[in-house]
Amino acid sequence: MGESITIETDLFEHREVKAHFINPCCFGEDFAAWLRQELLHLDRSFQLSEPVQEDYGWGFHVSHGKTRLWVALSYVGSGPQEAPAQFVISVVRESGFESVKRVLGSPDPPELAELRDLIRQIVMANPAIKTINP
Amino acid sequence: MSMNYQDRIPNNVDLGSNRTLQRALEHWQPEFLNWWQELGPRDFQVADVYLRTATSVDAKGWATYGFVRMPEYRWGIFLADRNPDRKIGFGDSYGQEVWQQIPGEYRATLRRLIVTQGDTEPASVEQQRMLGHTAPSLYDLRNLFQVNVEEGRHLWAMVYLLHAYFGRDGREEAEELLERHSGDADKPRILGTFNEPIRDWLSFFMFTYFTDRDGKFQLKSLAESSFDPLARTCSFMLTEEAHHMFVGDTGISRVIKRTLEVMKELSSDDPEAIRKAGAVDLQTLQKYLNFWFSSSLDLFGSESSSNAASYFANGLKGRPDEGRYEDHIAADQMFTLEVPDGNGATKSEQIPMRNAMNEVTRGSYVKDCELGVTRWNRLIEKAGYSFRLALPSTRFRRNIGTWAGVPTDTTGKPITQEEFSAHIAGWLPSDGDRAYIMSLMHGVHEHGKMAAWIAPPDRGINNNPVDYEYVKLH
Repeated sequence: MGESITIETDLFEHREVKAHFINPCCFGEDFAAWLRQELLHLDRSFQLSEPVQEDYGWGFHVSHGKTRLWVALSYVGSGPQEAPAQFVISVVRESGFESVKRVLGSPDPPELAELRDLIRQIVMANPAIKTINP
Repeated sequence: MSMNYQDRIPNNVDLGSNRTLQRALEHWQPEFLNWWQELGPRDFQVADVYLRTATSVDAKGWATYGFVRMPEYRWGIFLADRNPDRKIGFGDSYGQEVWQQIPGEYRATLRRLIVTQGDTEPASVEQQRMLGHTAPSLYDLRNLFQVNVEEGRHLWAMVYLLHAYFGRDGREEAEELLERHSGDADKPRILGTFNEPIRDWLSFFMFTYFTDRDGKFQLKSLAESSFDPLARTCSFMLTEEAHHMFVGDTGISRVIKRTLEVMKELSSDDPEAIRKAGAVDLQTLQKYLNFWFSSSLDLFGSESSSNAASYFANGLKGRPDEGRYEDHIAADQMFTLEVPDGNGATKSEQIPMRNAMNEVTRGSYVKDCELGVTRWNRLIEKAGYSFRLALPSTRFRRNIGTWAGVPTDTTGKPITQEEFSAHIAGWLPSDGDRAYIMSLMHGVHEHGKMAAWIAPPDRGINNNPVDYEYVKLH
């Protein structure tokens, strides 16, 4: 749970399932685009991919030097809802880029905590976003 | 190319221009339909089911919904649009033209890859064929059948490749895809997990979340293939596969949600009390998760694999989302594995990165699985309980690879066989657990009703209400 941030907001689309969604829960496209822009304004040392649709929502790849991270925005729920939406923001290290595989867990690269902190700052600074587990 | 639904076999590959191929597939079609009648969903073949049918490979809008009797579903051959500029994205031939025909030297290997993928598609339909009888609602019954017909379509996708590119060998392999059967003692399905019976809906949700997610990563790897028709086929299959994982993800969420409601009603988290109230205690749910996750991990193959290295070197099967890597050759990199040392501890072993491709893909899969677990735990946390679901270690209960048969606890710590045997009932579903879950499995086929062990979904399918009559049983 320490790796994820849960937020609640009415700021992003969560009422209309778009024709290009591969699942009815695939909200977060505009959220991913917004977060990406905010990150680019705040710290240009991270390289960010365009948002990518996944079965659970959206996300984007992040690179910083040799470190590769994935920011996943998963909508909590199975479809549209009237009430403000909850999203779980997860920042994880991408597999296959580290040369050492330790099943019991190798230390996270410092960029992971740095990126997670930046994201936390961004969402907490926006009054339209309520952070549920900072 | 647009989808042609006028032909006997719907397609977007201009099938009519190749009469020999068209006739061969039209010969296979009745065999497929016989298989569907015999081993597809049992006793529901005349029901009208509210199903999604692909109408376009364009991501902007690709499906339509309507009532269909399953044997009349328009199974077809749909490939993602061809990108004329696409180049080989990895391996020794990186940057060269992709192949529209199969180079002779890779024919046998590609055939094996396609047959292995194709074998899983009808296998899961066979595994799930009795589940309709115990569906917790018409909504769930419809979702089961949607998954089933799309697995049938994915079989068509692989059979098309076999017929179109492998001649007589391919036609024979296509026949055999209908001759092997899940759990058959003489002619079982190729991969072990696809011979595990799925008798209950908790297993079905676990299968669609964890095992179909393995399918997602296999398809992503094949979607990188230098053999362009295979890459285009798998790209479109991924779109359909997403729904299957949605069924698993939301199904597990709904089981948890109902359990939390019962815990609140009882003011207790005692598993026995929860069972007496007819819900699935979270400890049992964790055991099912341990079983299906560890079983699905084996599908990626051995951590160190010369086959995987050869697939990568030859451009046959890449890493999921290959484009995000900087080095697409991966000839000089090393990968360090922690392997059992045979004395109850571990040791490090360096292997070439190309040999570690299965492990790289498995790593991506594990990260993807974790996202769902985080969302499920969020439900539990929100309800005020401290219990947390967790993925077991990738070392736990492995039957393939360096950890095969090595006893570990769920965190991956090596233990003795005696310790493993003493704890196994707490880690995996026991006979008693399975009997309890089976005792909950009673079909709820009445319009607007839902079984008591699972919460209703938040929303229905395609903007219809949850209590919509998704399956008309007559």
